[in-house]
Amino acid sequence: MTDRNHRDEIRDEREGLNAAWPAPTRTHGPEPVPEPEPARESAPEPRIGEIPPDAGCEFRPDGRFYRLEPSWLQLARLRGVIGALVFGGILLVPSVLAFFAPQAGGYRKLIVVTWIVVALLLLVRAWLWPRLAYRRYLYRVDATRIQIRRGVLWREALDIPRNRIQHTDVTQDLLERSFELSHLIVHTAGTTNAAVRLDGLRQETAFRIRDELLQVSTDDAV
Amino acid sequence: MPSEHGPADARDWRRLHPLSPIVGALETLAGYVIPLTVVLVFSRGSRFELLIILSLIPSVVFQVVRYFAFHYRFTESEIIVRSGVVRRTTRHVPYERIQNIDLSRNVLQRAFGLNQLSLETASGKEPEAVFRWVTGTEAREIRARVQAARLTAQPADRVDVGAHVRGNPAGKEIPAGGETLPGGEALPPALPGGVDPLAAARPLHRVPLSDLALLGAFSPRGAAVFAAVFGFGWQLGVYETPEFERWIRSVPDWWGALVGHAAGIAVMTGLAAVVLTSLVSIVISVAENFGFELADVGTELRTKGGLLTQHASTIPKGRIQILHLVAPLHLRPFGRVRLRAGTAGGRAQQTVGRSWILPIVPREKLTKLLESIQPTAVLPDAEWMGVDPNTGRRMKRRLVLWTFFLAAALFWKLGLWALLLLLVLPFGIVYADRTARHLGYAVTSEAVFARHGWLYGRTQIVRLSKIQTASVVESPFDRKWKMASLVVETASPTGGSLEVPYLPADVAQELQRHLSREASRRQFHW
Repeated sequence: MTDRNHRDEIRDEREGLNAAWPAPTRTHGPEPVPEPEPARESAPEPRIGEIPPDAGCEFRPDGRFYRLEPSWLQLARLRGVIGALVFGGILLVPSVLAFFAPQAGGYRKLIVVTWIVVALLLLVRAWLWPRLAYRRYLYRVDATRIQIRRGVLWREALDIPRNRIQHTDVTQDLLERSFELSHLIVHTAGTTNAAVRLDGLRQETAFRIRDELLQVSTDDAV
Repeated sequence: MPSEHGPADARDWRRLHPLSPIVGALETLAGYVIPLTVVLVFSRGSRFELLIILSLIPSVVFQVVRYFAFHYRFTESEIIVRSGVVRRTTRHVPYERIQNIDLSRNVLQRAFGLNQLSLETASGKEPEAVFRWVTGTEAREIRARVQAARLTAQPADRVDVGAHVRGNPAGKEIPAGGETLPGGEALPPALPGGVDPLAAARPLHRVPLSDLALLGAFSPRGAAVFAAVFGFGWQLGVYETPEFERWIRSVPDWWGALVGHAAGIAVMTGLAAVVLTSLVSIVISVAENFGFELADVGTELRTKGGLLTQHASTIPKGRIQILHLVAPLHLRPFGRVRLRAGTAGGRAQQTVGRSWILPIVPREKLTKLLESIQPTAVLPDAEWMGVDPNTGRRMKRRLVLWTFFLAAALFWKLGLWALLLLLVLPFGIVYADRTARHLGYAVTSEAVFARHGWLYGRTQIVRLSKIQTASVVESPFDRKWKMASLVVETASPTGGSLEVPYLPADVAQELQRHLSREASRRQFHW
C-alpha cells in the first residue's frame, strides 16, 4: 500500500512545517540518538501501578516506557502555585471581611483553622502532587498502539490503536514556552477520549512522536 | 432532474413543500392551544389573551421567512443546503457521509402529506440537515440517492458488516444473510442472487400490540402524566373550588360502598392508582411504537412505527458502533429483551422511541435477528467469563460500611429511628450477590461483549473494528482488591463506551492489550 512518492511528499511537507516553526535550540539533554528500526514487538508488560526504573526522556518507538521532561515538574508546580494563589485570593477577601466583622466572635477560630487546612491542602496540591504525578506519567509507542499512563490516586492506562488516530497537534502554550516544552494532542473519533493530551515533551520529541504515529496513519487513511 | 456538478442553475434549487410555513405556523399555534384556552376561559376580562395572540405573530413570520430562505439541491455526490436569513449558511453534505436518515411526521403533518427528514453525519450532536417539510416522494428520493451513493462510492463500508469479507470485490452485492459467521460457515443468502437495495426490504420483526402493552405496563411514564395533570389543576386552582371540595368529600362514600369495608379502602386506592398509571403508560407506549417494524435492506436497517406521530429511520449496519441489549428484571419473566444501537451521528430528537432498533422482542428470536443486524456480533454462548471472584464480597463490604456510616450519622440526629436504615441491608446484599454474578465479559474473534447488572440486565456489544480507545482504570479501592476496570470507547456519542468493572488487574491489562492490538489490525470506517 505504501506509495513511495506519496510518502516522500509527506516527509517533505513535514520538514517544511518544522522549518516554518523552528524548534528552540536545546540547552540541555544529550544529542538525539539516530532512530533505529522500531522493534515491532511489545516489551514485557509492567503492571499498571509499576514505575519502570530505567524510563528515560529520549523517545523511541520501541514499546518501552518514557517519562516526561523533568522540567515538566517545575511547570506543573508553577501551574499549581498560580492555581493556589488564584484560589486563595478569591477566598481571602470574604474571609478577611468575616474575620474583622464585629459579629465574628467565636467564628474567628474556625476561620483561622479552615485557612490553615486550606493552605496545607493547596501546598500539597501545588508542590507534592506534581512530583507524584510526574512519577506516574509515562507513555510508550509500539507497533500497534500509543499508551499513556497517568494518575496518582485514580490511575489510568489509555491505549490508542495507531490506526485510530484521526490527527495530531503539537502545541505550546505561554507557560510551556518558558520551559521549552510542548504538548502533543492525539485526536480520535471517540467521545471522552476525542482529544488525548500528552504533556511535558521537548518540541523535537513531540514532533518525533507525531512523525512516528503519522507513518502508519498515512498507510490506511480512514 | 438536477444532476450535473456544473454552475449552480437556479432551476436546480428546490424549496421545501409550499405548505411548510402554514403547517409550521399551525404547529406553533398548536403549542399554544392549551395555554390559550386556559387564558381565554379563566382570565376573562383581562387583556392577557391579546398579548399572547400578539406574541404569536413573530413566530408565524419566522416560519414564512424560513421557508423562503431554505433551498436545497442534489448533485452527483452531495446534497447542498442553503439556509438562514441573518447568517446564511451553505452546507455540502456528501451522500456517502450520511449516517442516519430519520423520517417523522405527526398527525398534522400527515394530514398535509408532509415528512420531516433529518440527515445525520458523524459530526457532532446536531443533525447535519433538517428538512421541515418535504413530501413522501422527495423523502424517498433523498433516501434512494444516499443509498445509491453508498453502494457505489464506498464498497468497503458496505462489506464492513463482516470484517472478514472486506476483501470482496466491490461490484458484487452481498445480502446480509449471505455473509459468513465468525465460525467460518456461510449462511444461506436470504434472497437468491443479488439484492436490489432499493427494492427489497426484508421484514425482520414486527412488534405485536401485546408486547407494546407489556412494555408500557411497567413503565413509569403514566405517573408523569398524572403529575402533570395534577400540577396543571393546581395551577388553575381547581382544588380550591367548592365543587372539587364537595366531590372529594363524596369520594369515601361511593368508593367505600364499592370496595366494601373501611380497611380495604387504602389498599384499593393504592391499587387503583397503580392500575391507572399502568393503563396510561400502556397507551403512551402503544401510541409511540404502534406497528413497530424492523426491516433488513441489505446494507442497512430500517425501523418504522408510531400511531399518531410516525417515525422511520435508516441505520447502515456497517455504521453501528455499539449495540445495547437490555433485559430489565420485569421483562425477564416474559422472556423479552430490548435492543438499541449507537451510531456516530447525533440524533435529531433523543426520544426513547427512536434510538431502539427493537423496543421489545422475544429473547428466542434475538439470536436469529442479531445474525441479520450484525452478523459478527452474535452473542457467544460458551465464552462468557466472570469478573473477579471477590466482587460480591467487595460490593457487600462497601454496602455494609456505607450503611453503618450513614446510620451512625443519622443516629446523631434521629435517634433510634436511624436503625431503620439497616433494613436496607438484606436487599442490598441480595442485589450485590446477583449483580456480581451477572457481571462478565466475552471476546470473540470479531467483537467484545460486556454483561452488566442484575436489575437492568444490560449487555453491550462492540465490534473490534469499531473500538477507538481501550483503557484500564484503577481506583484506590480497586488497588486494595487488585482489581481494575476496562473501558472501551467507540465513536457513538451517547452511551458509546463499553465497561467491564471489577476485573482482576492482570486480566484487565491483558484484555486491553489484546483489544488494542485487534483494533489496530482492522480499519475503521465511520
